[in-house]
Amino acid sequence: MLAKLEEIYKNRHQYAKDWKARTGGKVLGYFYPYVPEEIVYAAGVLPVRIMGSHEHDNLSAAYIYPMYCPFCRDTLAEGLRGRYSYLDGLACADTCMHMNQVFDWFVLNCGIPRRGTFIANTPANVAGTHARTYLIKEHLEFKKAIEGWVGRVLSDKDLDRGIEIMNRNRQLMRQVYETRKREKPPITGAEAQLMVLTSQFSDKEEHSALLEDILNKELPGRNRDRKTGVRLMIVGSEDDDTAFLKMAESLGVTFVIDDTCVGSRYFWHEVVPGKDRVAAIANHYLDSTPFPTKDWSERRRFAQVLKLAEEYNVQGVVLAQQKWCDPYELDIPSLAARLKERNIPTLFLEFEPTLPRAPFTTRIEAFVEMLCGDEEGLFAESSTVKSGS
Amino acid sequence: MAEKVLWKTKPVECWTKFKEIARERYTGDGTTTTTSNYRVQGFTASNYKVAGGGEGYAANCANMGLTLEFRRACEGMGYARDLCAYSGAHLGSIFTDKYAFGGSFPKPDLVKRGHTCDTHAKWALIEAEHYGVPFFATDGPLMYEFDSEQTRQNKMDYMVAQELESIEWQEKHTGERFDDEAYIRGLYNNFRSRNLWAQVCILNQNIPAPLDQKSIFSLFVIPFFQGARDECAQQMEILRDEVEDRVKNHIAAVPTERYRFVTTGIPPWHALNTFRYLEKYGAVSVACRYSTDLGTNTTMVEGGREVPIPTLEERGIVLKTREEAIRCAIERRCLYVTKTWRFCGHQGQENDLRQARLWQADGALLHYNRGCEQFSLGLPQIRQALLEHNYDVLIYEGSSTDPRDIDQIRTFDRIDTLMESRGLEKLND
Repeated sequence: MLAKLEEIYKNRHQYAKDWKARTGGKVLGYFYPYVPEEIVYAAGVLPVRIMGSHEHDNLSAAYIYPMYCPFCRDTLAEGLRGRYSYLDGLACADTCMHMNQVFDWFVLNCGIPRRGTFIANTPANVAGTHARTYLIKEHLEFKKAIEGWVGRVLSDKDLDRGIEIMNRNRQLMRQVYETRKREKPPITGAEAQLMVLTSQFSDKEEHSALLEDILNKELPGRNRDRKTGVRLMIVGSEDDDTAFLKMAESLGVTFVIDDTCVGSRYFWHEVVPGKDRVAAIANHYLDSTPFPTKDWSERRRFAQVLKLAEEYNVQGVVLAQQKWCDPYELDIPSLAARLKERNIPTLFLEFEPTLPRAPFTTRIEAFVEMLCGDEEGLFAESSTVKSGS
Repeated sequence: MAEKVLWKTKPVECWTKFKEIARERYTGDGTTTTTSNYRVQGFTASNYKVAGGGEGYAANCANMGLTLEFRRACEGMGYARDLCAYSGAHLGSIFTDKYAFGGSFPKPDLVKRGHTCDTHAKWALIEAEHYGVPFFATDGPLMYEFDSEQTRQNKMDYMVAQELESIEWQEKHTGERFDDEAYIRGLYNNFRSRNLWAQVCILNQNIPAPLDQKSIFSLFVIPFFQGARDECAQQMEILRDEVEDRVKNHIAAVPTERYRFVTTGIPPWHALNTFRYLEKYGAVSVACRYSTDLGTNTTMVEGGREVPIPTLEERGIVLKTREEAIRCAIERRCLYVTKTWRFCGHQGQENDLRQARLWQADGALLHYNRGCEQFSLGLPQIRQALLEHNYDVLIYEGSSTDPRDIDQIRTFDRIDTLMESRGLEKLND
């Protein structure tokens, strides 16, 4: 079943096209997980997260000055290659200037009709006193716009269905992540990320069915012979580079947990059902672990990172950041300091869409060596590391 | 292109007074350490300090040659090399405890900030955490071209609610009562100062230009940061009258003016001599969106021309309550400024093309600023649009505060190449 997810990941565009052909439904591309997918599912529309492909990009520079976030440029390049031509609609959540630029360029270049473009405005300060009132109003506007697009009013029953689809997938992903606490996690970090990414690319009901199978049939007893090595956590933004995770995990480490928007942050919290469905959905997006762009004053994300690091018995944290991303850049020194207070070493890595293998290998190896101590370093067997083997 | 003509010139007479006022912002006993805008205008006590925006301060640090030290200090604390240029310089000054205007960096009692890009609130949060003082930031969502009327209203309501909350927050933390009357008076002044500044900028459409860009960058901080003060609004009238007089008497900022540039974005504050280099060819930069409106319009378009946004008195608006006044300030931002905002540079293209046309430019000087994510939006499209409309476009890469990001010799070479390709030789060297 993991192989099936791998297939969806590799053929995500074909998957969406097939879904359209099979169901006759609409596909809505979205740029950031603050777009309320519950409302999209309630409308019977398939939301797919728009992402790049980590290929050499010789297209986006004509549109975006290259000092903007590489993830965004990679994403735009994928659109300019025409690979998202099957989208019926496009949604953005007003998350950062970098991503909003990409949204604009998609609108102008990817043939999306104006009435198929949506903004789900989200407050930048999710913890603010007035954020709740604002977001509820904006989610109502988003719902109204989606209703106009699909040509029907979304009932409470529809919204309940949307919430149920999303919550079910979140519950299953939490179960998957729970297995990673084990001394010998049955899945690697790269495989876990594959699960999250494919949940963003595919129909959640189908994805949940696959997850159930994986949990019940594939994970029990899996990876018994694999050496866990050093237990690492990856913290960052859109670090969807599974090739990097695979490379690192070939060096005597396992990423046992993460705090990224292509990882735990995407599914960790569920919508708490309420009488006012739209308010319940809005509350979810405000009360979940905030993204750094939206995490002011309370530093709620830091608390979640520290909690996860402890629960998953993490030995070291890789702080992976997309170059030019100010909100992360402004968080990293404070977060590294808080991890240091708990004796958790960190390794800072700056990501671009394509990474040179050798220097990144060296840095991971050096980090492992540092974590293992002199006598159990780079040239020792990974099974001899202090814990987690 | 204009013929080579020598114009009369003389210094701007109110220059010294403007410099004095600008300096007071950093060295006086005001209630703020780094800014004073309409948000804090109703608080007049001077026995505590509120840190606001650090942009202007960081620009001064760059201009005074201090930012290399400050940026390095910031990087030494673990902050990225490519961090927002203003925040890197400002935080570096805090971390080194070195104030550009002398002594230690003034410790604020409160940190309060408007969040207008992805960086501002977190930058302020770090300052507040560094000093261990209370922090408050107001979220300022942009009005987007795709927004529905209801969304525009939602955004304004959201911003008004936060501003009202921020006042109560400041009252709570300082014990000082907000002076509604002073705030409202300041708001009238603020509209008036910006209106007068717009008049000054529009006067620069004339040939010869009465003001040059480097001078404009010194003058523009008064209407934007101190425009709420009675004295500043009065000074703005004096400036407007003087510039009017210069236009009437054909008094040029650059006596050899024969080629006109418009510029866009934040300049490299450490390398403003780039504008002086242009003058060697008789080229003068006559307008820049950043100095005309600082991201918050002072002009509006009527019949293809730009006119100043009317003052509150001209619009017959009588403000009586705090909420009315705050809503009025928010509406200016929302309704005049960003109604057609698009992140792809759509609005920037329109604005910069109109600026080039109305300010009678021959070419455009575009600063590809690695240090600001907001003011570099859409630069490739602005460049393309200007080229398609037959303007010369000269681009150079740099940073608003980081001298390591600019290759000035190469920039000068590019200026030489463009000028020579237009048959212009250096008039002096």
